[in-house]
Amino acid sequence: MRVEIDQISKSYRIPDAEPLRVVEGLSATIEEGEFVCIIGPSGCGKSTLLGMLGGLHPPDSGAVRFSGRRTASGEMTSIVWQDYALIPWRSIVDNVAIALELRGVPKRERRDIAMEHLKTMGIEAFAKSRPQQLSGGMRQRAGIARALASDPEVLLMDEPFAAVDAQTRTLLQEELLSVWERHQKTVLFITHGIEEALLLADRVLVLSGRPTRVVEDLTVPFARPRTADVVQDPRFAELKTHLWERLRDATLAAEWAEAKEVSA
Amino acid sequence: MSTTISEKHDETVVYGPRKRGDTGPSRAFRVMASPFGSLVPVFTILVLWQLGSEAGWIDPTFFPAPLDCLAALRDLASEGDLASSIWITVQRILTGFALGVVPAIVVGIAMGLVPWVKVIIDPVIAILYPIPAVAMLPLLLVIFGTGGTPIIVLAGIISFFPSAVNAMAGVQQNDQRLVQMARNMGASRTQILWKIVLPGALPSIFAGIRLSAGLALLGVIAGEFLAGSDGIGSLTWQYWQVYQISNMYATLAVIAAMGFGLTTVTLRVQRRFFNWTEGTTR
Repeated sequence: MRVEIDQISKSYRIPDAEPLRVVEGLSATIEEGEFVCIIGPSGCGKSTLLGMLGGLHPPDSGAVRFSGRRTASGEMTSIVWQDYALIPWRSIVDNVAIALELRGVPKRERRDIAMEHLKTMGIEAFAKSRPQQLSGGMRQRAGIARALASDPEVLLMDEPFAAVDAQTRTLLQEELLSVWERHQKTVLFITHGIEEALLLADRVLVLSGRPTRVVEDLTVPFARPRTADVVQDPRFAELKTHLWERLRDATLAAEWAEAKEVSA
Repeated sequence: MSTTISEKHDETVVYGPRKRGDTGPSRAFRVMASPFGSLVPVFTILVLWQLGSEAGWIDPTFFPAPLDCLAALRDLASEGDLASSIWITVQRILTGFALGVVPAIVVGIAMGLVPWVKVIIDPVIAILYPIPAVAMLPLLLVIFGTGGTPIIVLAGIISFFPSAVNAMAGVQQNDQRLVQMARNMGASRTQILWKIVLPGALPSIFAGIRLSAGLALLGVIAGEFLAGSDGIGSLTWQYWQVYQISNMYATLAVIAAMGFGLTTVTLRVQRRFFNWTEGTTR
């Protein structure tokens, strides 16, 4: 499903101060089945953008359209959260089945569907475990299984692998790619990692500091299916340097702007 | 629990040399920390007390030997008075507890969910909570007359507050990430309430219930001391007044056993149903 982000703006009111303009007139289009990574300086409004796409809070102005259909709710999307957001008193299988439960799917049926997605992520053995019994990597596999089980048109991923160790991250990246290649969902993936973005994405969008806009729209040329081996491609280093330069400029600008705000 | 992997919180790690078969302080600690292990120091004190009495180091006028108290307890039990007193007191505790805790949970949840309910009720609680509830007993006697009713109402009032405050806190401290997750998954407000907010508040609500249970016992015993004509508290008080110290200790032991039973049962329930709060990482 094609996602059109059309001139959206969002600001937060702060008592006794100018409103904080987080996103202003941001536009972007994500094609059906495309994997798009978003990188940008810390605090630039990436998560706010994701929240607007996920129906958590509406934009002040502008619109998000899914294949031309304007929507206010998150029914088209599932978010994969950085800190997993698994329900601690539920077993993994009942966590994964929550979207179906909310839609009124009978218990046996939704558990069967959830088990299928647990198998996809290779964690069916932990169906009855509680989230807090699992490692970070296992929890995020459950988080992805939960997002898939709700069968969304668009997967929104908010730095999903930021909290796991490097080895696990590499595994999860490869697993995500293989899942994506089978399901062909549209994916919007926020990350801090340039390498992660180049490994995963068809396109990388670099955002500026607040109010955030797109400063770079880079098409990643590597063939699919990809593995972690793409880092050995000579173009990889080149693109990495290029993206880092754009990100550095954006980050420096954001830091200067913030310093000015503080001293003003 | 057989599938625990990679993150174990409950293992004691000891650095340094250990002898073979040495189970170390962790095992002794586990035994002592269990409800029945906690009886070990109590039992030790009782033995010392008994020996001290027999050696004549302890004045039996104030501290009759434990075995004498046990004999007194046996006599009281055989007279049949004790069982009926216990039953009266247990009924008062349960009734007062239910009378206080059920509305407390409803009010607490409402305060946590609806801002204007909190604005109205919070100041009332802030004023009433610090008043020692026992101080209301004369008022309750005026309103309800003598008999069991003012005692039950006193227990109800005492047990109201912790449950109300904990229920409110439990609802207010719900995990916003889970709420956002549920909203993204398309949950309605009612679904968020029933599937996220209320289950998330349960451990806090139950912690309040535990406090209330202890206070209901306290309220009933205090009420029976001061205004009761029956019940185990009243019996204790009578034995003090007629100076039957062994009997007084026997009834005190019964009250202590009630408290111990209450604590053990509520702890069991907590471990059974709310084990997910242990080792939860945010």
